[in-house]
Amino acid sequence: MLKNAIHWHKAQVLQCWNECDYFWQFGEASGSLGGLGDHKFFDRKWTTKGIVKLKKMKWKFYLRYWTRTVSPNLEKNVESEPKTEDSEAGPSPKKISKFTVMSLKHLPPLNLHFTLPADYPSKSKPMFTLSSEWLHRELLTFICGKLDEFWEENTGMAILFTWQSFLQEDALTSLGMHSETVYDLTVKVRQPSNHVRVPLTQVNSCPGVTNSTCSGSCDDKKPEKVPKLEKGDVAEKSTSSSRLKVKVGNRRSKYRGAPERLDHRAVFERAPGPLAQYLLEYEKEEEEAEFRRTSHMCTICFSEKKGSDCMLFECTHVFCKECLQDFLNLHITEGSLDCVKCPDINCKTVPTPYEVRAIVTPEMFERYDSLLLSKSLDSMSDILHCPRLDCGRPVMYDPSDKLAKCASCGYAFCSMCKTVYHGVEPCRFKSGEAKQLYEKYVNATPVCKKELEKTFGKKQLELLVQQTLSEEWVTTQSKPCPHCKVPIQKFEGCNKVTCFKCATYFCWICALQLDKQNPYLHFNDPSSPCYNSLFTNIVANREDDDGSGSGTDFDDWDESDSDEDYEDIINGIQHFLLNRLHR
Amino acid sequence: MAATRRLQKELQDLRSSGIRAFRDVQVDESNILYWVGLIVPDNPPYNKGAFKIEINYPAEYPFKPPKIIFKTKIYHPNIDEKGQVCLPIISAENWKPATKTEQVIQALVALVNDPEPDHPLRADLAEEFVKDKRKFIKNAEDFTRKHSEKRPAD
Repeated sequence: MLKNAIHWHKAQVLQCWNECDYFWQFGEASGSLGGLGDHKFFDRKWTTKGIVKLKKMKWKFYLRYWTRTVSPNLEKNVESEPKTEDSEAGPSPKKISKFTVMSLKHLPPLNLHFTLPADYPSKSKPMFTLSSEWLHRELLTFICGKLDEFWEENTGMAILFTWQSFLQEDALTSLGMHSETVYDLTVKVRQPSNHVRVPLTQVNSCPGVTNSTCSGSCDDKKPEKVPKLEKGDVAEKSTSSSRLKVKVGNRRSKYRGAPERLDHRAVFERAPGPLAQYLLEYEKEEEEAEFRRTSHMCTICFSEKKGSDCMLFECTHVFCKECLQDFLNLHITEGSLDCVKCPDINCKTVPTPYEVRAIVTPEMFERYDSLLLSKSLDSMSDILHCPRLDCGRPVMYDPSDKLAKCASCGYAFCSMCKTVYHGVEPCRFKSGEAKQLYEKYVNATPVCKKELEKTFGKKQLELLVQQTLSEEWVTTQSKPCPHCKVPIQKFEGCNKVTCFKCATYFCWICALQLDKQNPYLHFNDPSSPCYNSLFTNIVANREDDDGSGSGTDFDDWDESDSDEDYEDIINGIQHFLLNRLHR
Repeated sequence: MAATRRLQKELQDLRSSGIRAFRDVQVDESNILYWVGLIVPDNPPYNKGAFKIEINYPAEYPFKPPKIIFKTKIYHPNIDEKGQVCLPIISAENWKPATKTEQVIQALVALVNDPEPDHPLRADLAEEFVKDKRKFIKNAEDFTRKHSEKRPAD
């Protein structure tokens, strides 16, 4: 007899274990349950917690909130449709509430905490609490009632899976909520809610009184059903003095079974911050998680990549990080910031600095950042760079005054000739002098060279040689942009040239800045000096550059050749810019 | 190499989709960066012939745009005597890495079929196109008959 009893007990424990395990595993596998950390067996009871994620649907919520409490960030995200000004605005006239519709695909989960009693499932059902951070107690109470109904229909059988699938699939439908419909989640909490969650272990032993506060829309019809509470479970507790008013909007007709009394097992854990913000943040998190889980087609390398290796731009275009890195590296190295855009055809979205930083190496980002800064500084007319070699920081100056003073090193210099400030004295133009000295130094015999180095300093002279050479290179190989004056070397293409820095169009032949709308007019207008010469001198130019090949024949365009070309240009430009900075 | 992998896929897609206006794509096994194909326009005056083009992909493709050269002479305001064509979609400042060769070809075919006299490379032809369309069409037809390639049979 005793043996039998033990046997029976063992069998039951085993069954409970299996069911919990199934619940657990199913949850893990389907991603619908999680956080089953406290999965314990003690005192012949199983306690565990299931987080039931709700089915993915397209929900639209109709939300009324105090605009004063809404952060500007939120207002951007929410599909803002201010419809009516609420006449019954709060105590302060500043508080105006607005109706706003937001679209969500994911809703925060419902938490089911349950304990399996010793005589489950033969006699007792699991004891549970159902909590949510966004569904209010009235609605949770209704769902609790539904769960009780399921038990009544299936007494003596394992119920957890039925409950779980009901919560996941049909709980919201049973409340009359369907996909693609607008719901009014208008909530007014006059005092902060202080709901205390009833711990599972105390469920049986904490009698109290539920504070029934459901009002408004629910009372037009008498409740037909009060969820059946177990005798031990009629633990009613005065939870708080909060007064909640939930309008259920267009689901009024369906939501008939709303009990007048709130179930103590229905727990509303108010999310921190405004509800709208909480729901939107949850939605964002879920979307991101889903993005990382799924795979995406990168339209640059045409391969399927995992979401975690991809990047989603604001414009919703997706590319793999590898391609984006190559793309950004190329344009940052070349300094063509105008091309740093979403790589999708016809998309004009510019990635945020944050996105760029997430893709490229820190060194590359530093270069990008400084390029961005210098680009914006160059567009300001009252900015110079400090002429001191070891400073070079941007300096603001007054164009009407010659005096400029570097804020970081304190150097006062003339904004015209970039030498020490010389008051009313005219600027000394030393370029001719320097040129003479350069020629003398380069053509000097070693003895003379030594002599010169003694007088002027070897370093100084070397710098002069370098500077003159690079200046010469730049003047012979390039033409300045008529707008931003940056030196440009053209090594292919037609005579309508686009400045790589400021994107100005200009004519390569006469250096005239061309019309933004129709740059070709310059070459088509018979009265123009460059009429019909869009492609003049192209072959000659290429021959000048590398002495081989022709303008159109790309067969013999040697790759190494073009690479050298390209490196030369970059070096030349960098040299020039550095020198310009230092002078 | 990223360019090779992508170009192989593009070539495969292009061959399987079979654009009517772009045929006989030939790619050298040893150099996938160099393609040759035949543009077969539908609109008069170019619908009497076909035009051979070559596409040169840079090593940095798809981060840098391909270049297109007409190997067959064509009487067209937007294509010059050397076969150079000014196609905005493959200009350095407009180029987007996600642009496919198929899209480039479609833009090119559209340009061949409907010349844009507002952005010409040959202003004399553009002027003729605008001022005396009949003469332009006649000249272009004669030119096409004389210089163009044979249209492939359907």
